[in-house]
Amino acid sequence: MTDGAELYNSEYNLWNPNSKACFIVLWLYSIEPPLYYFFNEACRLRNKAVLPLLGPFAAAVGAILSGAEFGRADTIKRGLDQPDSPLGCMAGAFLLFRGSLMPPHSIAKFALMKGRPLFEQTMTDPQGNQWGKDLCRDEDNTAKWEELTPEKKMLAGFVYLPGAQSTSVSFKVALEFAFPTKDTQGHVPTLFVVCCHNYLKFSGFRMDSALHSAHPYE
Amino acid sequence: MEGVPVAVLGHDDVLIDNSLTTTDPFWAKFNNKTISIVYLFHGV
Repeated sequence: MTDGAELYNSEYNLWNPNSKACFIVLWLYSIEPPLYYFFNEACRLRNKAVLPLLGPFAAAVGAILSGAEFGRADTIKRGLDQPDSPLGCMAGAFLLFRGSLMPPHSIAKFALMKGRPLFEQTMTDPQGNQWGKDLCRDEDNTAKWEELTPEKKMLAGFVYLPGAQSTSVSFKVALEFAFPTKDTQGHVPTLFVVCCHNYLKFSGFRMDSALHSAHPYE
Repeated sequence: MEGVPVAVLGHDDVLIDNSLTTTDPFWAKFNNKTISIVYLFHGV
């Protein structure tokens, strides 16, 4: 009978940040030729034709991003574990940067979402109660009317970033990726600044060691 | 819906003018360039 600790420490456990499985999957993600590019493009376009080829790899990356970070001894302390911090619920928050050259219409999509509440579509019933539909679940018309509380009215709407996004803790490194070249005319140099709340967890893994990435300095 | 949910906190187009403040070639090459900055918030 195998106990939990033995399972966790297995070389095949993707949630164990020190397992060979975790090392090899993240290493493959980071190398050239860019497997990450085809993987992310397939996720963005929801290209099912490459599912037999890239699906298992995508599932492995997804498993690592969902849980391996929390097994690290040097993981960034989350907000929930810092109840006495003067920063309150933002105690575990940190910033990440991502530079890229984006087509103008992609930037416009983000700009359109700026400041939109989660329950943007609202109505008031004859009794004066306010109801709203969850903006982010309404794309396929599955959202139902929910009675709005003061807390629900303050919730922010969100967009989904498909695939896996590589970011950097270094503003300078990120900016280098946004530098325009002759081959990318018409694209806009863009810098994404991401605040990770990290109160309960964050969906990601820091590839800052040579065991996890071919480019740990990025 | 698939992917990581992020809220868009803001969006700015910034013209970089650091000609008087730096001689560092890295920063100098961004001089007079406009960069679009998107501020995102990843909750949970």
